[in-house]
Amino acid sequence: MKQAYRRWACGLLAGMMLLLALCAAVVYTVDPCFYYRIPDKWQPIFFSERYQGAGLAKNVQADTVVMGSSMAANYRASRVEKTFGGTAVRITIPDGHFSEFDKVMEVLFRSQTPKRVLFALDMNILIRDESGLTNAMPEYLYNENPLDDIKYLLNKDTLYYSVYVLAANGWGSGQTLDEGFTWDKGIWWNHATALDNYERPETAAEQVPDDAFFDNVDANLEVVESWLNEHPETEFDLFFSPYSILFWDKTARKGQTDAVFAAMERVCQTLLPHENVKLYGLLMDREIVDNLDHYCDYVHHSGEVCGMVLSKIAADEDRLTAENTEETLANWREFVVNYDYDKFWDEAFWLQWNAEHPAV
Amino acid sequence: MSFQSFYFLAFLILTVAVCLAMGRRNQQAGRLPLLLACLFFYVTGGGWKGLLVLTIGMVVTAAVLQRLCGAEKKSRRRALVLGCCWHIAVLLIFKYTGFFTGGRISVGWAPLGLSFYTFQQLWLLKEAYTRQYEPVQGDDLTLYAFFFPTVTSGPILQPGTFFPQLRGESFLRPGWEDIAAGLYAICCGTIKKVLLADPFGVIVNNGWARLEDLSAPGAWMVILGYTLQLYFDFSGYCDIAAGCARLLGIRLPVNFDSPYRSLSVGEFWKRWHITLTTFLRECVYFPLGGSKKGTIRTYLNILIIFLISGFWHGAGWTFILWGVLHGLGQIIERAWGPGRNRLPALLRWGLTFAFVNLAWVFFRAPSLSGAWKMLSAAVSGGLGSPGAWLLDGLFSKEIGALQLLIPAIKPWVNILRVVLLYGTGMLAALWPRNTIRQMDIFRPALWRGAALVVLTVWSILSFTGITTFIYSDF
Repeated sequence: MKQAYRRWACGLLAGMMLLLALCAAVVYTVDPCFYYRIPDKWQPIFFSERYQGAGLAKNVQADTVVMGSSMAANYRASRVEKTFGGTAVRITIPDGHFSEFDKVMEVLFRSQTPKRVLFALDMNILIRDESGLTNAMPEYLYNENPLDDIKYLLNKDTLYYSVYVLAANGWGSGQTLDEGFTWDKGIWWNHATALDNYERPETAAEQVPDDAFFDNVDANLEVVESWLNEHPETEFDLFFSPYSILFWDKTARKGQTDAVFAAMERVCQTLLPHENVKLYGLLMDREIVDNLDHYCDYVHHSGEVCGMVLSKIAADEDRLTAENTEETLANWREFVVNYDYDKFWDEAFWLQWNAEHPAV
Repeated sequence: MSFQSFYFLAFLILTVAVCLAMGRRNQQAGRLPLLLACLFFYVTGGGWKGLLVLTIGMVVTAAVLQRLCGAEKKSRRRALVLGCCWHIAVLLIFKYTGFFTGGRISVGWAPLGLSFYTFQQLWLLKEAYTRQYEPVQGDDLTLYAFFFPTVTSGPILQPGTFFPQLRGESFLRPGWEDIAAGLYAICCGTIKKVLLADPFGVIVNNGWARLEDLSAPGAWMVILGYTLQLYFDFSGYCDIAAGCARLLGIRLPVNFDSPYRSLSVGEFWKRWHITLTTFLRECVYFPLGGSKKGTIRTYLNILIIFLISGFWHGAGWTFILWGVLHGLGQIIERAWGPGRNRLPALLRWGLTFAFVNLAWVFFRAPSLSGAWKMLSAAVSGGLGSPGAWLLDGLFSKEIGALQLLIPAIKPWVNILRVVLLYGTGMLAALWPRNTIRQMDIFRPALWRGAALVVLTVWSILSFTGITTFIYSDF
């Protein structure tokens, strides 16, 4: 009888070890998060920026790295390569916090030294707390501890995606690195969509103090500065994401205009002294921002705008320097403060607009 | 270190391997690595500060025990009172200062497992005082206080059930029967926690986050879900603890005995968290006079122990009300007398189960008004079907995989999830024999092994992102 217990206990442990090893082998081989390698035998499936960002940063060798929130998701690597030459990869974290970008940056520079990092500075993200985490960042994919790789290998989510990757490839619906996580297809980029998806806030009774965002901006800039200081050999092309003019309407109605400009000034003052930084004020580019047909809500722009942004950066347009910052911000402030936002809710304006822009 | 983590698995394998290897040669030699493992386990979960506080308490207990060995009654009594005051004061300072001062003063942290530790130390002192427990050389107070399977969430160990085992033949020399039974319990506990308690927790958390949107059926789903979540969470923990202890040749007392089968609230407390009930009965109820001082005094004593029970579970009015409700439930049953027992068993079960369900609402609620909202939704929330949002995050990957295999199942996935989860939950809560009792009559069987392998592997694969045990907060 003693033998029966022994056999049962050993069999139980052996059975579990075997099944777990099998699961780990499937995840290791398929590697749905690109943690060990970029697949060459099948096409990848993109399911989570936070889970797959570490693998992209680690295993896609690139001269130019595009990084940012969902605002940067439609900057296709192929377009970046065409603009700047060399190889490119895009790593985005939707609604990301700077503490999250910092983790990605850490993995990136741990495994390679890109020539250029194109980073989309979102005002909405810059003025909020950097340390906020969505709890969705899997630490075990970003740290250097090989022991906790077991959380990746023995994980029902990654096992599911491993099977899914194989199944999707079987159906012929695999994806490409270039298209992965892009979301601009199937959206009607038009002022009607932008206005439909914009909730205009009530006008605030009081103005927010100028220094309202300083604490958060300083904390976020501290993260950015750490990148600049630790990687002097890389050029950081930082650009204020070109939110639509509706962003400025929202800012004005919430009484935040002065505070946002003060925050932008703070960004310029802090970053411009660094030698490996180029800062671009695309948020103040009228050609892009003032055309609501580029947008699907008050901030998100089309892939076409991504192309314009890349071209402008390559041509060094909209660049902010120590010399022109003050004047540029003052001019833009003048423009947004005096802008007639109410026209967007005036039927006569759109009737005239339609007359001037006949459908092709 | 959470029981349902890869770190714990590694810790357990290493601890058992080292302790048994050394224990087989020399039991005393095996104690040292076990003690070190227990301290390591505590420090990784509770930190050095917690360890220091509990160690000081243990030194106090040791000093009091020495005085209790003396003969002079007055001195013994004084030592007992001092020892009890110390432990109760530490508990009150760390866990209840905020409550008593309305949040103005609060320590802000508490040593891990302090509530369990305190009751266990009080039990030891009480039994030493009444001579039910006579300290023997080699009774290891550190192991009693920090035994890793029980240190965070019990069961609360009666000295007489623990110390003699340290001198027993099986300690650190378990037979293959013990090892098989231990593995069986660890697997069962892990499955209960990961595949039942946590999924119920998903529905419960979704429901409590959107109280205003709950219809009556949705509210009842949440209420029943919490009843089952709590049971599988705590009994799952106890199964794992019992299994780990058995691998080291120690038998832990039964803490859950299919409580939801109870036909009365009184019976419920003989089956739910049995070691707590036993402690309260022996250390509070009996010293207060138990049921020997008349009906009114008996009722008062019952209320007192359930008030303590409620307060022990948490420093909040919701916990106190939960305790009072259970006290009142038992008083009503006693007042009803034998007439209640003549009711059909199914009716008695239904009344008891409904009462326990409703009382848990207060246990879970963040505030009394929150509890009231949940109960209002259960009564007057309308007969609309429970929102699909209640199931957000419930077995999402499993359902995704199922839909990949059988696309036609898509319209049925919500019903399937609810029926399978609640059906399995009710069945597992009401039907099989308690795991720890099962360990005693455990017989190896291929089907049992195969089922455990599959379900345990599924649980292990679900470790990443799993929540902590509810009872580890106490």
